[in-house]
Amino acid sequence: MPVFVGLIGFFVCAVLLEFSVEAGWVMQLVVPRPSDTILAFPEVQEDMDLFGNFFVTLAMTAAATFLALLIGVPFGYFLYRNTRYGIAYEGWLAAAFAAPTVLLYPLFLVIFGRSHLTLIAMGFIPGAIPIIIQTRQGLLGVSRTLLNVGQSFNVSHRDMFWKIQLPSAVPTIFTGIRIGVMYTLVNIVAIEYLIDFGGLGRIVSEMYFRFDTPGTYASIIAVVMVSVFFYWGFGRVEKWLRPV
Amino acid sequence: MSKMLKSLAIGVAGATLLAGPSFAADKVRLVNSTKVVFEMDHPYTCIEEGICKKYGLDVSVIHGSGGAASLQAVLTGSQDVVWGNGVLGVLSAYAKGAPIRVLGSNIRGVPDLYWYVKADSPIKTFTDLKAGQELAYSRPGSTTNLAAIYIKNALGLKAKLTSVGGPSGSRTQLMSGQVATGWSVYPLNKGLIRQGKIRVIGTGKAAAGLNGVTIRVIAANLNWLNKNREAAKRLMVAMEESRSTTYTSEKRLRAYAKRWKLNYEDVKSAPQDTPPELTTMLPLSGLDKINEIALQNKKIKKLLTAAQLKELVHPMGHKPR
Repeated sequence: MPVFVGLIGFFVCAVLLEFSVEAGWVMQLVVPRPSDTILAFPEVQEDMDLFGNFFVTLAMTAAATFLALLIGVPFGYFLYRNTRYGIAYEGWLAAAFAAPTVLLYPLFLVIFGRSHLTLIAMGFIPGAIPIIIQTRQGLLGVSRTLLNVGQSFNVSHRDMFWKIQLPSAVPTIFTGIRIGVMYTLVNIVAIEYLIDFGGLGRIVSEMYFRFDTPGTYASIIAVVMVSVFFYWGFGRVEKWLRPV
Repeated sequence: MSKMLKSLAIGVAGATLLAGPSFAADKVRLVNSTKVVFEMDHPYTCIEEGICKKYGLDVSVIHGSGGAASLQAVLTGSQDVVWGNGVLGVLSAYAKGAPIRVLGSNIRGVPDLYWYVKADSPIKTFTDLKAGQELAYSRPGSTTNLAAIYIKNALGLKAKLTSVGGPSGSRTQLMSGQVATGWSVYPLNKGLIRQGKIRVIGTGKAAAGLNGVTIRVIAANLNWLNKNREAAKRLMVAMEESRSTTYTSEKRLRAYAKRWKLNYEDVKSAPQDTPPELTTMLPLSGLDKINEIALQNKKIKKLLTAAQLKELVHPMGHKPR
């Protein structure tokens, strides 16, 4: 039912936009008619391989997110376990998260070259930071009662972590992952756009420079689809880790 | 009472006369397509040397970040005139129904573009580039891309055309050894040439097919143009006068260097790097060729007709005949 309501809302917005553009209230050169955007998909596919580039951006985002998880969760746990470090680095991490790291792309180009590695590295940084912060916060927020129950049953440190702390912290950690993956995707698409390399960002840029507004929006929708995929995917993983 | 009214009327009339010129000035919002490039300095000359004021114009200048973004500002009506926009972008926007018209040429050919290598590179000229070595350009469909294609074809090079982004990205990639050549536009990076860190291997003059072809243009929003035809004509005359002043005045060259924090030694040769005979606002030449290039580069879906090309160009602000 919620999905249905959401789709109806989306459809109504699209129809309103269609009429607004048709009536000339919205400049067609800036925002195309949704029907034109839909019709642009085959053209962009034929011209720029939209589908193939969708998977390029998806793969880059997945690789950067995987790396961010691989480093972010253990580091967040480390900061949780070591209070002194946790307090010391919390402010720095928050500041780093707020910094527009995308502007560092020339430095990354020097280090990694004009390659997919640059995209992954630049996607990794904004992805890892919220994961680190939220992992620490999630573990700090585990109810004292739950920990006391565990201790009263004399569970090992290992079981305490896997059976009590982690499941309890999962919602917070996944909040961090969701924020992280979005920032990762934004950074990757931005770099693709800026250096004209890689997947969907390059197509958005190309269409924009051609003043092909429906094509631009079609490729932006493809970026949104990558975002939807990760949002949905991590939702499934979260449910699997914490069914109740 | 009547004496007082008479005095008041005289006062008002006097104040109106005194304030007249400032009220009469037509406002023009101009967006410079990009920064630093020598040809983008004429609007500043116009304002700072009082030329705009002389022609009854109140011109404000902002800077865009490249062709499409600058042009978009004019298409949406947030700016009136775009200065030095790539002609391909303008053609592309016009073909899609955008309210844009060309008023004049900003430059014909690409003499101000140049390609360079690291000082210790064995490459001395374009023809030294071996198969697979990178000949840099900014991005597909850009002026540098066009120039690189024409240079490659004119000289029969086997080099690989490689997109490297803007001048700073290009320099970074060249200096870190990722590409064999970098591209720039005079007077950017001239300091590095002077210091012997990089060496020029050729300029856009090697793109023989583009010589004499209008590459960058001055264009206006159609709605603004229709409502401000006389102001547009005066703007173009004022800018032509400003262009001459920029080329012949040392003061203007110094102002240009100061504005962009460039070394005066590096900008002294700007009039030679960008010869004045190529930057007159008329003629707008080679539009038929640009039309074909736009089609080849997928900027337009079909060739513009002669009637469309005629409609597009309003030389010096005058309606096409």
